[in-house]
Amino acid sequence: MKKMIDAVKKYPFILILVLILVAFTPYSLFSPGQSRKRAVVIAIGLDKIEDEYEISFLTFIPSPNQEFQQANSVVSGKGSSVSEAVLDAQLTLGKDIGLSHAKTTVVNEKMLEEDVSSSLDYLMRVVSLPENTVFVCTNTTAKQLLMATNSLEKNLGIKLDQLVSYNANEVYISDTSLEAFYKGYYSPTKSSLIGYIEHIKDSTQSEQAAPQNQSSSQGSGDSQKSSQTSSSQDGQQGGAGSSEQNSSAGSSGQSENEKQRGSLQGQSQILNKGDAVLLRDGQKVALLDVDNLNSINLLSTKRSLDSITITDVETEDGKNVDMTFLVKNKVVSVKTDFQNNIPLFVANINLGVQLSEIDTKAQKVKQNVQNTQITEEIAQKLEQKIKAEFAKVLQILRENKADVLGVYDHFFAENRKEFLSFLSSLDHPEDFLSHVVFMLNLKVEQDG
Amino acid sequence: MKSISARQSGIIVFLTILANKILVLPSAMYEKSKTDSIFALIAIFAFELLVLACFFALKKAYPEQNLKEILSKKMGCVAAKVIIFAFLIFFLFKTMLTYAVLYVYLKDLVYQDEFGFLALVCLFPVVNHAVVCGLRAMGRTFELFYYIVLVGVLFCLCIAFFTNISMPNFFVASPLEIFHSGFRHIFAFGDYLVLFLFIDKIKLKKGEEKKIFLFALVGIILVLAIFIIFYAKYQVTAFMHNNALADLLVFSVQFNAIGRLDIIAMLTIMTLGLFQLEIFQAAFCESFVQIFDKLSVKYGVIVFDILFLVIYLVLIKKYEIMLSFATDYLVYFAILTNIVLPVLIYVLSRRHKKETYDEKND
Amino acid sequence: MENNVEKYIENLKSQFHQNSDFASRLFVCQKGKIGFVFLKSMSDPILFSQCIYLPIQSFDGQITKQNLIDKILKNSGVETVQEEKVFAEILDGKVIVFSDFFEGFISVDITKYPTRTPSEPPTSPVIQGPREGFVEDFKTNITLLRRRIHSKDLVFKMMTVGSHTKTKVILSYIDGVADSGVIKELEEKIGKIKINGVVDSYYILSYLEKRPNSLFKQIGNSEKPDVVVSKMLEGKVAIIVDNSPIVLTVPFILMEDMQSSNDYYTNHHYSSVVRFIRMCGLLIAIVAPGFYLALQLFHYNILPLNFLITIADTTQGLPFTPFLEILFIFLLFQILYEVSLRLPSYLGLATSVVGALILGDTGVKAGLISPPGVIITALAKIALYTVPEQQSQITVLQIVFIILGGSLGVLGIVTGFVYVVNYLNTLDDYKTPYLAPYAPRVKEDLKDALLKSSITEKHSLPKSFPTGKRGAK
Repeated sequence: MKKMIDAVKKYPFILILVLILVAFTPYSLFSPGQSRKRAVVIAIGLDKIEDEYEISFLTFIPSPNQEFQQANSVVSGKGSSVSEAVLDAQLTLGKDIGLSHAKTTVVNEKMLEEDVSSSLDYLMRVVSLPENTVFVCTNTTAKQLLMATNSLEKNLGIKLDQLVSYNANEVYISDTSLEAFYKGYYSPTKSSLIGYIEHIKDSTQSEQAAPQNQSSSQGSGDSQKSSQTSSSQDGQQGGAGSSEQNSSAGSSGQSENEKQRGSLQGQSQILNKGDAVLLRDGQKVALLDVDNLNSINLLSTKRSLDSITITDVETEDGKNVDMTFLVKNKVVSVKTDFQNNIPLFVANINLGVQLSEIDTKAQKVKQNVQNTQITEEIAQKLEQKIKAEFAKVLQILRENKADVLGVYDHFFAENRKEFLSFLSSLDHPEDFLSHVVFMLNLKVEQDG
Repeated sequence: MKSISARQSGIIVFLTILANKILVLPSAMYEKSKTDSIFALIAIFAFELLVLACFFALKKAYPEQNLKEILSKKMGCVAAKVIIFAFLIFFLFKTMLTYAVLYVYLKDLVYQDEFGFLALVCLFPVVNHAVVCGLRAMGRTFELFYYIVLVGVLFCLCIAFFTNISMPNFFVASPLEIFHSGFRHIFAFGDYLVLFLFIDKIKLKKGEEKKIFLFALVGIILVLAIFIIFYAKYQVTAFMHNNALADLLVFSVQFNAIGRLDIIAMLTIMTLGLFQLEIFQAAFCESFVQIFDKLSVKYGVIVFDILFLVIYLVLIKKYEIMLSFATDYLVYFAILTNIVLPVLIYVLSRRHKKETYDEKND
Repeated sequence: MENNVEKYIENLKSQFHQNSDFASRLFVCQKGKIGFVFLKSMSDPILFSQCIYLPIQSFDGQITKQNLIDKILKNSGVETVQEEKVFAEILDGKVIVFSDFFEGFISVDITKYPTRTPSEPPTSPVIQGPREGFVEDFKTNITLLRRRIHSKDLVFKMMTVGSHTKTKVILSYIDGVADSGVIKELEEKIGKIKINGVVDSYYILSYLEKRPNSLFKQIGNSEKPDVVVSKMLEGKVAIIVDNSPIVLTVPFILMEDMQSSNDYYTNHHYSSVVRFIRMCGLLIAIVAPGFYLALQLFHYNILPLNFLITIADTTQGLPFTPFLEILFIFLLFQILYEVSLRLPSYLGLATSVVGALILGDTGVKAGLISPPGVIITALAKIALYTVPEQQSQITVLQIVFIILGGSLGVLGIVTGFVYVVNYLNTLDDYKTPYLAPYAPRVKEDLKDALLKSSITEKHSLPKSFPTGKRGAK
């Protein structure tokens, strides 16, 4: 005993360490890994159906195999608030949810009818949803989109977050993460842009949907960037037969409840046109198409997948054709100024374009795509087209008092005093965009 | 006496400068003075450099004596003990604040709610052991980890710098707001006070003041860089991010390519936190030993642990209360320890200089 | 002694307990009787006949003590000894010559016992460089050192330790290069050792350490004379212990074990890379299993999704919890290691086949253990041998870090690591900081630390530990 007391006196900290380990080790010794204790969520869907919230989780279901393939399933919960819905989903799963690996957050349009930030706030603050998850909106329900995505991923290897990230990097030229949403939400203009994925659900005409199943270009206005992807496994195999499309991964282990919630009848397609939702105060105010986005991106220094098509261009042999140009190079400089107390937003834009295609409209045209120089007429037409498109989007933004062009920031940084007094002179400062005069000095040149 | 070198002292200064400033502080200050918190920070750092100069003057005047001996000479033993007692209280709460800040980080980002505050008790043996082993062993440990910690912080900054950031707008808050922001968070500062307590244990050769000054400068630059990049990255949402250094990595593009890089931030923050706890507790124990000269450091350690548990269990219970306690009440105490005491000590050292000058002339 | 030669021989014989290897001869001449006593097992009987007995027999002159020493005994190791040293001399393998017509004793060195020839030590093989290793015989070891340092300042100080074994312990250093304080401290410590017997140098090592209960070794050791010589040239003191091929060196810093003799015989850039890899190996060996466990039990959120899927899939059907699984695999590897050490070499291959293929592969297939668990533990076990000198310490640390990582997660590992480093920083035997030249930073010695500079840049004596004043010029 005396020896023990001496040892304790000699090494008191080791004793405390041992005691702490004794307190913590037995629990850990028999604790399963976190991958077993928690459901690893890859995507989250948040829907508002009437007055009820429904949260859906695309979760990874571990299965003992040596192939290490991801098997996911969609599980959902309902409640009068998001927290209740999450609890309901956890009850269904029989596990806590782990949102650390969530890459996508989807909400339906109804969620955006009122301020969505409070619902998201719960997920971020309480259940640690990472801010860098991709944030998108869908037309049907987020749950259906997740289900469609699940099977899309299984069959074609296309992931929703990749799809949206591609849009974010190449089309919107802006982040569509939750953080970006909050940045816009808390900015003085309270406006932000998030991605929009159209989901076409066709539960009655599955046979008709079959021919559309391949990834294909589909005319949606003049856009060339829309792509339609069928998520039907049957469609993949030729479109014959059944329309059961939901993931069956891990279904043997699913509860009856989960099966009811998790299954979805019907053929469905994801339509990624590169659209985006314009939000103000966390509410949807407009849907912008890809042309609108291109116009918004005009002021960005980064280059997007811009293409401009002009019609009725006269060729050397006097025939009218449509020409499509690709923007290869872009130099943008923005200046703000006040003239007679009127805010002036001047953007000098130099575009280096390249002719990519000539639509001859079934005429015999001698013109060669490679040798065509940009004439003054073509440049003028391009400028007109760009300005017209910009005017369109500016109108939308003015109507909705949403500044996603960074006008506020430019004025604040460059002419702060005048701008703040200008704002205070307005009856409705949030409508400042309508009072700003925009000057686009465009210069279109042949690239290279 | 087991002393530490100028380099080790410099590293201790570097670590204390980073203490409590790289996690909660950027977002906490943003709430009051937005991006202009940087100016509050610069002002406090500038003042603190003067405190460092005070320390050098004091060290020059009293190269071998400890703080209590210096103060006793001028003010008498009781007054000296009262001043050191003020330091003791300061470092008690400073250590507790560091525990609280570390806890917030561990709970939010590392253990995701599977971490109780009392789990932090597992740090006790390590911190206590380091304190009992003495300043020399501690200094050597810091010296070994210095570059690792520095690289960790720089890594976080670099990754954040090369992601989507834009320069934030400055001059958005009024001078009063800036002052208020700095005032409320003054308890997170007082970085050089540890040097005063360890004054007799620091071996400073002629011209080595520069070394300490350089380390302080590195620390200050790093803290400023963290603030600026953090504000540049998050801007209006800065108030939502309570763990600045770790949050800098969250949006890195490399994320998906090579996995989650926040392990680097995690290791850096844990190591930094642990070292800061060691320094502050050592400062507490040093004050304790100087007040109760017959008791050894071991008693200081035990007293600290008991006080910590009692204050936590009886008074505070929640880390949020600890944080608000620091910003609401400890501020006034921190003004005494961070500003009044160093100035007082400096005045004393000037008087000593004058007296020795007069004696020489006589 | 007069008229008592036979009696004295009998007396000695009885004191040696009538040992079978005790040998005595008697030579009778005109003046009287000469007695010879030696141990057959320690001395060479042929040498005895040729160098001692025959010369005396054929000597024409008068046999006196002086003549015996100067003219008759044709051996370099002839000296007179006092009676109290007789036993020690006999035990050393010498012949004691005594007579009834002269006073005192003459000892003649004809020692011969089986010794191993210097060969490459199995613990530290080199690709390029000297292949000689120390042997058990201290005389050979002294020769190995002397051959490399042709200096009058090379000192060998002999001491005897062990009340039964009377083992010779030799302090070896270069006078002026080694620190006199260290030498003095060592002499005092060795002089104070009270032990029945010294079987190996490890017995002495424990007495030289300030904290013998510590997990970490505080005394350096080597089996290679070139390594010991280089350490002596740096100002360290070598301790040769008879019957042990391991020579101890004092003072010791951890960085020494990061260095291998190979580093000095290859390009220094390559050596720097190798040392860095060794350092990584050391870290992986200590932390990897604990870290893996921490990730699985506490920090799934920092695992990349693909890695998480692999872990989740492979651990899904296991009967063990992650903690028990790692402990089980660790135990399995440790058993295999111990078995392979003790099994005859011809069975070694069979063990590795059984271990690697049958236990590992079948364990995974049977769903008892997971492949990531096996990989991580195997990696740690293999990485351990990047610093073989620290093998025993690392093994203990591995277990500690498994427990820390499993119980407290990454925080446990970080705190454990800081604790260990802090502890190492308190070790400063012989005024030498254990983690020098990094803690404290000794700028001059960084040239031969983790990064190695060219040998041409190494001019002065190291400053991490106390040395004498005379360094290389």
